[in-house]
Amino acid sequence: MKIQQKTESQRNFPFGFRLFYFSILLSLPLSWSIPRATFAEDLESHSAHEVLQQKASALEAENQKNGWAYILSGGLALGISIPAYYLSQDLFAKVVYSVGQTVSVGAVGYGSYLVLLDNDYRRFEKVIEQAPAQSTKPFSDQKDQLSYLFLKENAQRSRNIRKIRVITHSLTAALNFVNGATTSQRELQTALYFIGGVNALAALSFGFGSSEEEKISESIKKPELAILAGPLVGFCLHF
Amino acid sequence: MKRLRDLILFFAFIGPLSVFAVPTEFAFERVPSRFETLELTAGSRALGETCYSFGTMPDGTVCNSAFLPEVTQGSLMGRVFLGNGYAALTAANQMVYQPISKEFLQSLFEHQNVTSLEAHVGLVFTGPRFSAAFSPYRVQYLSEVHNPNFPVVAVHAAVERSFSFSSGFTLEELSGQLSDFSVGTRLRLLERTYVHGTFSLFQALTDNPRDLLPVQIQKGIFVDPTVAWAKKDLKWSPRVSLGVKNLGHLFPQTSLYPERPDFGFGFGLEPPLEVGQLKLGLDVVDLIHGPEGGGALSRFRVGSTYHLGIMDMMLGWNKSAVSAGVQFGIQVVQVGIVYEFLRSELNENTTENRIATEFSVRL
Repeated sequence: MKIQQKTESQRNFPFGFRLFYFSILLSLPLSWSIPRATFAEDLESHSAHEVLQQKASALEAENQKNGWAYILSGGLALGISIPAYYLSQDLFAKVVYSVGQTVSVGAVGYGSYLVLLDNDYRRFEKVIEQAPAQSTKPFSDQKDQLSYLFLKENAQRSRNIRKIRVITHSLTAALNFVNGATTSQRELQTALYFIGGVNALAALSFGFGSSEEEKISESIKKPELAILAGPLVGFCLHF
Repeated sequence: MKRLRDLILFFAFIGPLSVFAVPTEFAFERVPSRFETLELTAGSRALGETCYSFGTMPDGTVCNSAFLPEVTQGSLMGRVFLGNGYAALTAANQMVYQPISKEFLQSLFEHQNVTSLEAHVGLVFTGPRFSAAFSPYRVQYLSEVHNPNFPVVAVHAAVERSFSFSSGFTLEELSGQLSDFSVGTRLRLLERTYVHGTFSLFQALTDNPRDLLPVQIQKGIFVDPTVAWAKKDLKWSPRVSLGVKNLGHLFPQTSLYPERPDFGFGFGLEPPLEVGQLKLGLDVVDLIHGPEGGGALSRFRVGSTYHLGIMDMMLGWNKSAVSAGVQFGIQVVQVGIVYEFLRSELNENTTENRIATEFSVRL
């Protein structure tokens, strides 16, 4: 029977294979995208306040659905994990059920947070509705103005978050590539190149994409700024 | 009381039972059917290794590349899959990578009648229309002690490294009438190092250990194209997929790992539920060659999964095993456990239980 002694070169992928798959990995169209906007459509026909209300309602419905799913599944998972932990004899099975208990409790807490607490859009809408109207201006214009400013502020915040993610993923990718180039362990090198490539794709995707908040902000109409001068029945300037 | 407790644990799918060696000189001449698996993950095992009939697997990855367009958000996941019998991990690595001594071979006769191990470490990136996976370490190990009067050990140990790249897209851009159709393909690069053989205690004492278990190395490159149809507008969201596997080249070719091209198809349904999400899948694989030693029924694989919040509960059936599993996951962390009832190939009247666990971190 022929004996085959494995040499170092036989244990490694040929260089051509590594160059091949890394070139494909880095030349692909960007596919790691920011969550697609499902709400930023046909917004030009709605006022800023109407957009705010619709967004608040959509988020509230989604949070209610997900929140109860987390609570129910967390309770069920806890009911399975606790007895299974004490019945299991395998070490890793006990670890899985122990982590499962922790995840279950966390899920119940997070689900309660989604169900019981209002989202930011709903809270701002309530503030607008409860604020006393100024007698010198139409109340609907005030609401549109404030809603527009809130949506703009959200878009700016989302843009800043996106910038931070681009920087973070870029630095992570750079570190992984440098570590991969300086290690002598073949498996570790390939793994580091892989993670670095994925982070590079993520950085490019966040850099060239835009979030749903930004798309909403770009789509809504800017409310007209009305200035009333003189007596209550005087003239009105619109800009 | 002990017998009653064992029965309770048996029906609760917990607690491995040992398989008693058959007093015969029979030794396996092919890879144990339990190791004929492409995806070594908790989700795949718990679902009876169905692949063609499911879009997104419970862990968020995609097995059938034609369903990659259904992914909406990218994610990077690192995972460790570990079957029981992990104490044999050192033995498996030494069998393949290190010099082995006569004392080491003799120690195999002192182990349990059947010792098996499966483990897998991998990184997976899944995004819309694109997926890549790197597996630096995947090990399968089995040793069986036969014929107590004249002990013979049958050993199989294989360590694999692989990289796969998948892409899929819908045909909507070609024609609006083809919007329900999608195609995908997966490119796999594989390097396998293994030993496979049998020897008696007398041979272990006298012969050169590496002559008894020579190391074999295989390298391969394969393409697995698939085409799928899915109609989410219908009430039960049916999906059908047809695929080809192992189109490519493996060198050197061996009878132990033939890796022959073959066809398979899958049919899946998603019954509408008020609470949670239920998926059912039926795969028919190896349509041309068929699993070795199996009949028509051995080509079928059935799987089902129910998703609610943080939990996925799974059931699966194939010719080798009945399996059940559960996965818990929230935000970054995900864990899973699978219980399998395997049919013994040496004695079909016996079964052995196996537990596998998986730990994943998602970014």
